[in-house]
Amino acid sequence: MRWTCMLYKLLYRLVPLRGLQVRIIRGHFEGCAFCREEYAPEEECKQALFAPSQLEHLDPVYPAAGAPAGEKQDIRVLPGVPVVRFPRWGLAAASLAVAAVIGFSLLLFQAKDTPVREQVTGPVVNAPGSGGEPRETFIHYVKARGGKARTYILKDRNSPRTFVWIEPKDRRQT
Amino acid sequence: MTEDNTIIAQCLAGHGGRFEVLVRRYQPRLMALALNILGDPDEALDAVQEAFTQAFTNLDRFDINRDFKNWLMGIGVKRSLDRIRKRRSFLKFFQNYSRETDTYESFKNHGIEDSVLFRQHMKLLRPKERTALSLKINEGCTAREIGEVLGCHENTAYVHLFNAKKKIKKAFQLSQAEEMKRPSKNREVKP
Repeated sequence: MRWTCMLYKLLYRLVPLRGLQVRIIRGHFEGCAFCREEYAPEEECKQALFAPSQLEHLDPVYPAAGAPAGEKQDIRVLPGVPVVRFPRWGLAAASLAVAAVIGFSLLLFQAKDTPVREQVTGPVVNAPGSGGEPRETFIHYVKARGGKARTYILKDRNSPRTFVWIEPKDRRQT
Repeated sequence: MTEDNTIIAQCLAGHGGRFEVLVRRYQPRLMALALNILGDPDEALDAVQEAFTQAFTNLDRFDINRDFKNWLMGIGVKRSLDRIRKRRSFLKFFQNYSRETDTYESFKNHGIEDSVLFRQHMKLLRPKERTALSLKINEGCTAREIGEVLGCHENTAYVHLFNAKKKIKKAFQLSQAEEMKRPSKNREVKP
């Protein structure tokens, strides 16, 4: 094989421009005795394919494909069923949009504040000096906006009021 | 007006049964094209049936000035290539393992004899290369006509043809190697 043949082959493979490839084929490959040996002539190609003459014995598909013989049919009378064709990218875009809406809805739903539940964090007793019998209040579980929360309890000494402050642990949720 | 167009005009005038003439005339050619693309007689028959059905239902849209044979071949190619695209879905992946045995049975059932060379050709060539080669060899289409059928530029069709011929040469070499591996029936038995 000559170096020019190798060069043309390299150029043919590396440069995917069809116009250039056709020029290389017509200008070199078809005229070069070395390169012509690397592709099959039409006679060899015929042996690799089925010819129509080999398939004439098959039964005709006519009864399923067209109208029954002898029956008069007016093709134009049948209304054309409108075919809605979606391009592939359209279907993909629609699926993504639906997925985005569902995902956004789920995020919004989870972001709603859930009711405070009790958590065992320890007994809360009345502050000294507040009067009355000491009472213990247990907070079993606290949850805010779907996540864990910190609980701050403020008991006013001079009044029976108790302030409970709940802050989500993740400040980004605030 | 060609004979094909006369028959089409009769079909459009209400004699749909005349379509049978076109089916009998073009079925072997369409079947050869579909079989060379798909490699399976059952699938090829389905593609041919779909192509004729589509041609029949769209006869009113056919341009009488065009060549019916080329129009029909274009529909056949599209139906065959669509089938190949459907084959590539993930669910079909495991079915492909049994494809070779099913295809062999399919050839046998239809009384068609396949060859090692044809099987190599199916393995090595891409669908569009098989299409271009079949249209060139069986129908004598030019690169421009092949490009119109495949929906690509004439140069692209020319490159598909050239690549197909290169791969057929390789298929020949592989099939000859496979034939050599088979035991010879005429071998003499030494005493």
